[in-house]
Amino acid sequence: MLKGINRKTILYIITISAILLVLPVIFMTLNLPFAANALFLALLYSVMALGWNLLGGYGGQVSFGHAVYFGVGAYTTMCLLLLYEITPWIGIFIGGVLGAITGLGLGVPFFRLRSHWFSLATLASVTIFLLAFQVLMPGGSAGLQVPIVPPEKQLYYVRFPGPYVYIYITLAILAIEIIVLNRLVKGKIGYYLQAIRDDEDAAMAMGINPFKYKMIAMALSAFFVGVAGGIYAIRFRFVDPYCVFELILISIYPVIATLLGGMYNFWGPVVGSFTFLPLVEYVRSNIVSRFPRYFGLHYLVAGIILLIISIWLPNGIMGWLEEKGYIKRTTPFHVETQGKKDKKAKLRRVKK
Amino acid sequence: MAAVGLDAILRALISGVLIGSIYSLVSMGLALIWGVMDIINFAQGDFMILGGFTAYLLLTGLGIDPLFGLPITFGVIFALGVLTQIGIIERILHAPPLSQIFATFSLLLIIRYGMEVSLGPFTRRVVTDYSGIILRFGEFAVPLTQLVAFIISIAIAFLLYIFLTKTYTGIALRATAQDRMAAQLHGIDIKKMYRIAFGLGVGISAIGGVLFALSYPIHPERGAYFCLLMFIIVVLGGFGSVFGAYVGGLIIGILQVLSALFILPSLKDIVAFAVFIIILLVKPTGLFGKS
Amino acid sequence: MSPPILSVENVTKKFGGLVALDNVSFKVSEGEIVGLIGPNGAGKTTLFNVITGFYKPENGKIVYQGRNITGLHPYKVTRLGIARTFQIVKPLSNLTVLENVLVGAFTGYEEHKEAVEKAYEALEFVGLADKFDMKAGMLNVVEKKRLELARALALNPKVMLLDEAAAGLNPAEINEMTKLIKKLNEEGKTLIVVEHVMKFIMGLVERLVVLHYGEKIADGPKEEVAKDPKVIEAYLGTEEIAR
Repeated sequence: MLKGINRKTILYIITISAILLVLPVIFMTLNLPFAANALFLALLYSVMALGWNLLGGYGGQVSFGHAVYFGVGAYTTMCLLLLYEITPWIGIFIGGVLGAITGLGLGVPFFRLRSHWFSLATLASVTIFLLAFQVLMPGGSAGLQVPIVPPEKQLYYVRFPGPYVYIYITLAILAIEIIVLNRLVKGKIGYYLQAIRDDEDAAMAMGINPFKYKMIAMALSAFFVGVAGGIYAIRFRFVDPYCVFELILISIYPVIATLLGGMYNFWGPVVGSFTFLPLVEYVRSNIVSRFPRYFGLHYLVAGIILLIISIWLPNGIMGWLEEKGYIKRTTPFHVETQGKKDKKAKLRRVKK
Repeated sequence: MAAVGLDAILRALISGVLIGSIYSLVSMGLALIWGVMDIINFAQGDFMILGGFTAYLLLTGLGIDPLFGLPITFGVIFALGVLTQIGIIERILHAPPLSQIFATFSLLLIIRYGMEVSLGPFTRRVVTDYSGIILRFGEFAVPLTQLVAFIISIAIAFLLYIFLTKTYTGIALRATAQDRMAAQLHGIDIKKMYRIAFGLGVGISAIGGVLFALSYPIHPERGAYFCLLMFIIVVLGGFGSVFGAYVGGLIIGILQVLSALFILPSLKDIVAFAVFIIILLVKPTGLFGKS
Repeated sequence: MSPPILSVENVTKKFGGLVALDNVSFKVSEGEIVGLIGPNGAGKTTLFNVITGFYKPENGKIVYQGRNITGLHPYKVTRLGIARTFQIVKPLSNLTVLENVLVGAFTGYEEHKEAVEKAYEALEFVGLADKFDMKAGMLNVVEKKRLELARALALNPKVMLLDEAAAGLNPAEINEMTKLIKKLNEEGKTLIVVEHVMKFIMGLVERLVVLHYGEKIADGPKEEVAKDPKVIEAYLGTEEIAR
């Protein structure tokens, strides 16, 4: 299922999955709502960050505009439910598809721009969508809310108390995302994207069509972020333009999480999300909400973390671990050397 | 769409030029930094608001009038800018452009929310003896503070022009902006130029922030709005062209107020952003710029 | 004589007021190995950029295998069979040496398994096989040049444009490079080699095309071109040519 994985990694994955499956139950039993909520956020942002990193870390196109796809996904899910009574079990995926389409639509003009111009344009797109949705969408600035429904409809409306069920939903989505993206980046498309990132001209000289692959990355990236938006909608049951087209919370947080974990590593976004989100969420829910006078403290902390990473830890946690030799970079094509005398290496493929 | 008379249009033009002159001033700062150092300072809007709050604190804490305190505000933000340059930007000047983007973005967060955490998430007004005075020229009413802001904005732009064309440092700055290597070969200390450029750039934007605060309420998060607006103006005027940015600011100011006459006021901001995207795609060098 | 595999016809390229290429024409037959020389700024790399689609000429056309490829996107030109190296090497720094070449091999060879094997062969050809695992950014300049060559080779091209493959190499390394390139030619690849190091190019090619200020001033067997007074004047009478 996953490429480039050896026995040790499989053990890690199984252990961590087991822990993640059990944690919500533990949190519920011990009545630790903050922990449960933090877990939910860590998982949700992992979905967003992994998606973002396909385009950002692998493709080299740093987008500050992913809030757009999140918002599109959230609104799609909400509107489908409220206007056409379509269950979010399907709705969130339609939201993802619409998010992907939006991404492709924005990609056509934006991918003509390189480097910081691209980032700037994506930054502007968030405000454009914010303003547009205020005026054009049902609910306008006031937003949309999922009403209270009788118990027999709650499964259909995906309306459950607390974060616990949503944790499992997000976990499932994350698992799917990991499998899909892992196969992608360890194959031809993954290498093409990295080539575009490292040197777009050289990539072109090697027969790679940059636009095509940027669009592929964008579509997948925007899809998963859109699905995340849909999950947000059903968890919090309220969307308004200011919540979902939010630059810092929705667009920038996943970026900081990815940078913290390591942009050039597949697991970086997940590691980063699990480190960053509980931290800032702790600041927000324990300090800021108790002392509203200090609103913004969580963003200040986020900014300081971003600064520290930019200067001292540009490759993130995973990058640091790689540098120190604790983890090795693997390719799916494992080359083995036969003995010291025979300098010729033989090719052997690992788990095709 | 209501019928719009000539009167209303004239009023809008005047209004647009007045607010535009503030946009112009703050954008000149961004253009200066961008032109000389080739980095995008995402935190420029927040340095501007920081200037506004500095003036506010000088007024409420020490009783210093914002206009008289202008040199002080400028000095404080200039010094802060130079320190930022030395402590942060210099470390990432040779890093990949990605790191630069992230570093200035972190500045945005730290300044914006540093202000909010220290001063509180409250909207403040700078209220002076002359805050409420409205001048009348025939049919047109102009708040004194806005007129003063306009005059000071032009004055600063003029001073900057003199500085950049007649003083050694100014010419050295322009040389650095045009061709770094050639400038170095002529014995110009690039590091020093960068520090001056950054300090000057954020200092000028801070002055704009003070002028803004004289007529409009300020809030620590207001920088977000100006951040994007400034980029639009600098791109419109031509990346690196300081005076192109000035013209761009006036244009955007006029466009904003005029469009509020014809379309939903809440959509007036979209006009500016749409202009931005169009320019990025059609003529990224802007009106006056040379890539 | 068989039709040329690559034909540059009346190509003019301007940058604002500067004329980088002025009505340049020449033909290359399949299997030929041609040297493209000229003083700095003569337009050699510009010509490569026009051929490979990085620049669109104001005038003229590039014909490859009978087909007009002027202004085609570089990735399409590569896929048609023209590979190039860059004067200032452009390694994919964050990928390993093998991965660098793999990217090219995926273009050159349809079948996945074959691409991997050919990538490895390309590395062996240039002598970087034992460094397959290293991050390309960590190689020294000479090794990066060899990587450029391996990458171009893995594209399975018919025509290779080599831009200053010998720059920065010491005489021993130049000899190695000469042998490698000759071998490529022996395997049937058409080569256009841009070079400043005279010794290298004289030992490599039979035919020379000379550019000066964007104009073609000579085109013929190397002995003749070396004695051409226009060529000598262009190089300000450096002894190198006569050797």
